[in-house]
Amino acid sequence: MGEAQSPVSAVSARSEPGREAPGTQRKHREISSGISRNAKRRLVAWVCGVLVVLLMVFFLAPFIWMIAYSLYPSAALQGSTLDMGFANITFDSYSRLLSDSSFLVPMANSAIVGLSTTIICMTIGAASAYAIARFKFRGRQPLLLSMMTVQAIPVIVLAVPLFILLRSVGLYDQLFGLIITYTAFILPLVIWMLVGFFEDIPPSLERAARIDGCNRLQIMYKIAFPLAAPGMAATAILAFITSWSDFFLAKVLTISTATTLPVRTAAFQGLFAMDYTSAATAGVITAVPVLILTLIAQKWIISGLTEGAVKG
Amino acid sequence: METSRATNKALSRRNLFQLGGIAAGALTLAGCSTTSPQTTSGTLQSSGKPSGQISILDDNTNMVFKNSTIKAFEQKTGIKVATYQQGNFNDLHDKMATMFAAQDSSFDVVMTWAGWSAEFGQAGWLEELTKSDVPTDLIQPALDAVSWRGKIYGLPKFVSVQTMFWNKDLYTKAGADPAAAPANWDEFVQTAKKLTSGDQFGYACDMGNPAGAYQNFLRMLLLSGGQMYDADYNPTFASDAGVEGLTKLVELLQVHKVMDPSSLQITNASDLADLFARGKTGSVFNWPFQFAVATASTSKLTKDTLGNGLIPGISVRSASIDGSEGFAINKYSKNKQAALAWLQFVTTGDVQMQIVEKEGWFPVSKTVLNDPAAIAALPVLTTYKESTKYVTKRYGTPWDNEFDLALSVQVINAMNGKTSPKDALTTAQKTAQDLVKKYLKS
Repeated sequence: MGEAQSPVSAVSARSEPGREAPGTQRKHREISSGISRNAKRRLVAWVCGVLVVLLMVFFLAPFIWMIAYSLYPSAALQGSTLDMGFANITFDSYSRLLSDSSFLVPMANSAIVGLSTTIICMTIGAASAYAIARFKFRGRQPLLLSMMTVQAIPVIVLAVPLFILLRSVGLYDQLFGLIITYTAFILPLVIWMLVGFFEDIPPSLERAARIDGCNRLQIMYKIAFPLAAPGMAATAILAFITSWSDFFLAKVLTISTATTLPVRTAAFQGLFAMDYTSAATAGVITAVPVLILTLIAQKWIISGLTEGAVKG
Repeated sequence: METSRATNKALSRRNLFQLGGIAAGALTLAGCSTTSPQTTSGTLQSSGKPSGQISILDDNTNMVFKNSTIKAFEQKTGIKVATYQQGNFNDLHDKMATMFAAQDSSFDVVMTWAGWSAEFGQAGWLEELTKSDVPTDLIQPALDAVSWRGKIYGLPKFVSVQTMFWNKDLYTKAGADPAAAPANWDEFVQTAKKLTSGDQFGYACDMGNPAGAYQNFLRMLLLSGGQMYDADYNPTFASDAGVEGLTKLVELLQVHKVMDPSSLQITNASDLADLFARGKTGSVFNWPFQFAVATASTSKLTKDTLGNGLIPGISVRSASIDGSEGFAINKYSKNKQAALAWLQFVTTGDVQMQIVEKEGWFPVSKTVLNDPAAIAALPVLTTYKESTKYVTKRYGTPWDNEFDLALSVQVINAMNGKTSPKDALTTAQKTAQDLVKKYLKS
């Protein structure tokens, strides 16, 4: 051992300091540090991979646990030892909930409210955002800012006035009441986001379309909207998720007829008891449409969010 | 630019829009006005016979009202129950608070319990009852659940008081007397030690959420002869009795190791009842429905192997905590007389007997409590009857939610050995003092 040369001393012995090419010097530095650049890269990639996996576990663990609770009987998961064998898996809670009208009606209500709110917000929001992005008028910036102030008001402050307002016009516990309420909250956010996307579209494209004979409406539908499609998709999904999953407003503005899925899901917890299996199953059912939508529009969402969502 | 060409025209349009916006805002504000006809409230004091119709907002604890009581009430009084709406207990608070704040009269009768009676009663949202409105044979802890600072804001619908349940099979195997509950805390600890081995524990409780931690501490405080507050609502639970009670609770987990460690994660009484029914827990202190869960066909226990008795005291013979529910009258109800008729009807013998027989809750009336038929239907009533001799409290206050949260942090810290029981209670008591000042400024 005492006579054996280390790799470092072996390289030093073969070279003459001061006469080496830069690449060779770099190699020397790498070897002298005991680790090559490629190995360093691999190490960093490996560490990053581990961190990503840990992060995914952190985010996905509650969802996976919720799925487990929906598939296993409570007794299998609440004992001192977990009994998570495949033989214990059952879809009973899914078939029970999906054949229970007291669950299906809120589910349909949520779908109606979510889709209607999204369609209204996108229709009005896209036209408004395009106008704000393209027309320069006095008060444009204050208008945008004032719209965002709605987002800054805590919902709980507005609960009682909204209740009184909806009750006085006969829309308390009505789906339409929820739709216009959500539209009022989500529309400013939709406009705010879409303005950024429309401003990103080069005006020269629209001028060219105008020269080719397009009127303003045609420019909007044939040029601006298709080009802003990724952003519009991301915004629409955000609008849908917000209205689909709202709990507080749905809780205080409905009592029975217009009850939505999140409110129905919360009802599985009582004063003295908690039906974990049903609650977890309802949670999975609530999350699935959002997941499917997100997966379908994943490409658009990513490009939409990175292209213009943060611009104002 | 076409926009600049039409400046004059656009300005006038803008003015028009501004005017329109102001008008819309004014209409909106007018809509928010609380002087709509809906808010006109009736009076409770009336010599006439109640009539008309009422709407009731209840939680989903009871099914007996929907199944039979409403029909019987309508037949007897001629008052129609237009709506009987059941909601999840956890959602009701916000729904009710919103309705009350909006002076809404949609529901004449609302469900209540000790915490809400205090909170909504103090806010002036519940109709105060006079002594003549209250049936004479009501059990006091049940009446406490609908009262706050000497004022009665409703009538109870059922009583829920904790008693001790034990597994006689495990007692026999451990060489303990299966026929009788431990007479005091030391006996309870000795028995629990005998019952504990491997994955079997002598005792379990539900301290996983703030309300659970509060209840478990309150029980220990009362068993030690302490009080949460004095007559003026000054917090007194960090007293010697409080420290002794919490110390004994901590010792079950840390020193004697007889408490199932999952007790710190169990979030509700139903899970605790299920755990006990699996047959690996020697004893629990739980609500009346534990009897039905422990004697169900899926349970490892039967009526013969289920023991029930008083919770053993530390410096008193026994004590317990209350979880009774009741009905109250919405201050803005337009038919308070009819609403009162419903409240009173629910406390009558026939309805209370059904609550005992069909749902397993304790009755609110002394008459039913002493009825042999009720005891035959629900054997644990014998223990409840005995427990009425001892202190049973809940201390429902308007600051319940905030205080439960603050206390639970300290209690769990003490349970985990992160702080001493004395320090934990001293800290929690300071928080309670601030809350009392905040809520009882007058």
